[in-house]
Amino acid sequence: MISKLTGWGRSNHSISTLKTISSEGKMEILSNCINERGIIPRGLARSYGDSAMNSGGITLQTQAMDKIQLDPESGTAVIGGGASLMQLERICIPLGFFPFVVPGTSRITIGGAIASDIHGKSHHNEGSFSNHLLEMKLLASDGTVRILKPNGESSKLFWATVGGMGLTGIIIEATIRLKKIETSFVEINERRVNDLDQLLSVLTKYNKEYLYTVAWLDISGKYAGRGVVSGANHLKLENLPESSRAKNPLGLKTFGVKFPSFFVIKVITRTTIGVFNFCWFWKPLGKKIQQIQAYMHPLDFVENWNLLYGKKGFMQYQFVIPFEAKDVLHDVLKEFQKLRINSFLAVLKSFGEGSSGFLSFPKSGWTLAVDLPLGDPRISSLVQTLDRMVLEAGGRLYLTKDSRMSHCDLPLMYPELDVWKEIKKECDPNNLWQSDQGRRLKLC
Amino acid sequence: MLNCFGEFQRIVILGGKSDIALSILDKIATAPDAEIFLCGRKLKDFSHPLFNQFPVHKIEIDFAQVELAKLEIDKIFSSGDIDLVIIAFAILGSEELKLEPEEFKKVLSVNFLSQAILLNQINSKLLNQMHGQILQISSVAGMRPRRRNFVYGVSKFGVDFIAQGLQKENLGKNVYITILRPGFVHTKMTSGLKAAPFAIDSETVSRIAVKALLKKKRIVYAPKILSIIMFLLKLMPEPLFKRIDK
Repeated sequence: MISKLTGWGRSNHSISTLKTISSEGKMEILSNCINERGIIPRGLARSYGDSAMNSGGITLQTQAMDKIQLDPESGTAVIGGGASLMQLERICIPLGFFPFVVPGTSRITIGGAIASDIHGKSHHNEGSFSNHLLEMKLLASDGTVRILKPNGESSKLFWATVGGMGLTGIIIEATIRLKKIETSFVEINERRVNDLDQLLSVLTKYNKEYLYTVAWLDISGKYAGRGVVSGANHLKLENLPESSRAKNPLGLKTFGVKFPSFFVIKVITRTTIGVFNFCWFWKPLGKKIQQIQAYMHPLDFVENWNLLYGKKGFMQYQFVIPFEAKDVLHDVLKEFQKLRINSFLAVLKSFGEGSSGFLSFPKSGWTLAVDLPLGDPRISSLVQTLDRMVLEAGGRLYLTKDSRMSHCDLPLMYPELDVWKEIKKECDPNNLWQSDQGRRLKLC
Repeated sequence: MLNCFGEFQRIVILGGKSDIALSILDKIATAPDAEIFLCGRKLKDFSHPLFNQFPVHKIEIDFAQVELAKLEIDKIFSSGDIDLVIIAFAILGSEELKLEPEEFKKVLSVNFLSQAILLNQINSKLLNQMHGQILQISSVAGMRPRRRNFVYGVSKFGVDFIAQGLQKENLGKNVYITILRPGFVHTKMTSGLKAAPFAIDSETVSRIAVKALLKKKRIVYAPKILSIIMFLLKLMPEPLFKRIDK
């Protein structure tokens, strides 16, 4: 079926043949459909740009690979590459387990989590997804299934697949470590801050006290830099209020709402962003208890909130810079202020040490992610200016959020790019795995 | 591949010295890592201020040798996806010699045969990619035969016709051909010639062309008023038309 596809930002569009891989990860039926444009796996398409699209080729839906087998004794789970974190959480939370690393949305596949080497609010303590990945099965371009582990003979291809944006093969199955939880709640502390320096100071303090930390910034109007810092720890059973304990200490959150697919209306504008940011900044704060999925995945309350950006869509600009380059954060906010660009989602975190993934994004430093509506002609030159600042500071951009970066900047941001390309050439000599992003950034 | 801003990353210009094409290149939205492939004759010593902005690959092609030209186009596409192709090569020919056998053959074979073959080849390549745009520089000279330039005119008419046919083939396939029909444009090619009514410069043509590319328009005239003028001229009875056809 020829389909027009897009990423989460609804900004890059392309047409490809959409196929589905079987639940066992078999691809024989595709052999007569494969042309020189190749194949890219596509999970739940939460990457913002064009990494899960393949113009003129095959885009392979992976959701049929959805098995989940939890082993409570070893605290591990074997999960199909097309199963989502949401499905995993629904199974593991009632049994007293939770993944070590989850991002802001649980509507991503395990394959996507590995291909992006996702990070979450606990990166400063628990690293990225691959730090808890014990093993994976990769369907390679020669049709063989390779078992990859982080150490040993297969480690090169393992670490090339981690963060490899689906360009080394299809992840059929993965075994991950889970952590034990006593309740499905977290206790949260939040604090309002008035400027960026205060925010960074509070975030640094919270990183020592809390497992999960994150800061939301208001970058609308003259307030660029004020925000809310949040820290959370898992709630022990003894601290759970009696009423919740009686109901269910390991209860699940029932998620939210979904707009009809035709509801593509630009609701997120300068004005509405300003109003939202004002309300969010002044919302009542303090210590509270929240169900873990509601805290971890605030983006999941409205399933298709990306429609609210209207027909032109949006992009997300996410970078990481070393801790010592924190002045660059001030410079970045000044650029937004100069052009009076508003964003309702500007999130700042600190990262701990990165993983061994050659194209893995997280590395030690500050990371800022900003959503920007498209349609404003100044955004293109703004992000080019930010690229220069990030590069000069020794930082890099996140490929999962990328929809426009220059291929010339990629080797400077990812010094192990050449190593990755060698491994890609070795494991995929006929260039089967291709994507629009791969072509744009000369990764394939 | 286009980025989220719709900026072109890889652009091919057939007719690398064309004033109109270079003026369009100056104005269209290009990605910060854009690459340009300039194809034509005697490009080695050809320079332009724009060449400081992008990496420019100069490829010597004699469009009269269409089989060799096709091989060069193949090579360009095999190096990566192309987002935009501007087909801007043409021979105006001599008004006095237009019916001389050699001149007649040269104008038709370069302006029509070569261009039609390359347009078809490029369109097929873009269809294989399932993305891309072509700007075909046609001319109002192809709308109705005029005494002084009907050989040039028929060559433009022929490719224009094929481009319209390919537009129908391309429906729903994310490949778009925009046919630009300029009137008399002051360029290197027309220098020394008597300007026709509604003559414009390449800056104005390129502004119109860039807007048309952005909107993926099928056909655009430059200046735009020519769309009405040519409509009326096509309906005009011949006894009346020949009075203005001087």
